[in-house]
Amino acid sequence: MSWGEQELRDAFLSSLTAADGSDAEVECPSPEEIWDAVNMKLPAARRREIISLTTSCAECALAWQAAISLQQEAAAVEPAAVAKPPQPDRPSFWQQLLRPAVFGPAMAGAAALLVAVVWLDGPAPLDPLTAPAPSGVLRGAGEASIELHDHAAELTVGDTLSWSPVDNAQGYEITFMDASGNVLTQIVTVPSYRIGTELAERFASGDTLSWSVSAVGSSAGGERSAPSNFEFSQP
Amino acid sequence: MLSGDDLERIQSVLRRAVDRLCYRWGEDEREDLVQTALLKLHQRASGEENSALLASYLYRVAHSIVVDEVRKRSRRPVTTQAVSPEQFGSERKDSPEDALAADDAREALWDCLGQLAESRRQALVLYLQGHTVPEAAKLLDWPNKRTENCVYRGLANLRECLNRKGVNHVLG
Repeated sequence: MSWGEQELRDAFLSSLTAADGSDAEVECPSPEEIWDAVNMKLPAARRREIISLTTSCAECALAWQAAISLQQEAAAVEPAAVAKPPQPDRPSFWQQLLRPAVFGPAMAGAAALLVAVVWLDGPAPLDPLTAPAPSGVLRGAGEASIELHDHAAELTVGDTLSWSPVDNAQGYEITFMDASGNVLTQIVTVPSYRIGTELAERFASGDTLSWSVSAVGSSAGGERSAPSNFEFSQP
Repeated sequence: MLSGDDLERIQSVLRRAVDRLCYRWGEDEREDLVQTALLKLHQRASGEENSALLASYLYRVAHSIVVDEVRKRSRRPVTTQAVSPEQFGSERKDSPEDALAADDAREALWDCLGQLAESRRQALVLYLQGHTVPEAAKLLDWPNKRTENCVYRGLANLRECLNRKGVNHVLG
């Protein structure tokens, strides 16, 4: 008797919930990081590292499966509950729209469409949440901002990261990651984040941290900004 | 703070996800996991007023709690429900022989996966997790064609390996 695809899938999934922790010596990524990997919120290289762990560790694979299950069930209850994975390797809708060859005709078309829609159906629907644009770093209690893309920047507790506000955003999810893939995510309701002790608890002094931010709406996440780096120093 | 509506909605999602994920567990144990997760979620959300409003954040936290709880319970010395004697794809059977056969089959499956080339293993495991080939390609950041090849060659290798080990007889 040969194994059908569905039988193989069933066997694989069944093997996950029967895991008894015997592969506990494999260092599983945190559930948060696995969630972010499933949601395409980690760089491709780190995603592949995590996927690789799920191929040798049933517990890691179970955490991946839990993310899929939870998302599918959430989608059934509230279709926009879980952020759609961004597609960082392709130009965004707005980048494509701003290409010169597209922009002119697109604007003319959009203007005509807007007039027609407003006239026939009332106001146009809200824009999707775009990626915030990181704008600066405020040192401590109020020195001048410095350029954010200064990769040599050394930041510590009390410094503030800021970015451009996004229309219709109810909050922002800011994610920090070190070179080993340790991740810390924070939620704020304003377009800035004052570095707190939570960073000091998670990361070591001298770590180079990559950070990015995405807007979050009432029920869905937006596109994530390009990552920027800084060197974290303990206070 | 979570509103009553939030709690009800998340409870329903959690219950369905846990039923699907931990279907081998007893009903009481699954319900206990849901209630534990809800309680912890409520405690965390109480300390973070703003984040409690964001559904995507709540599900991320819920995932973390469920995974931690499942890991914790799987490591308990007496987890008879979690490692119940059940064979792949078949009805629950309680004899010690069946339990041993299921353990052997599980070990053989992971052993066979371990023998695959890394790229095939990665693509195949995503596929077995339930992702489509295009989804797996996006997650791996590979072209569709490469991912598809890896999945199908991986499937063929896995079948060969399981047949070689005689594991197909477990299902027969």
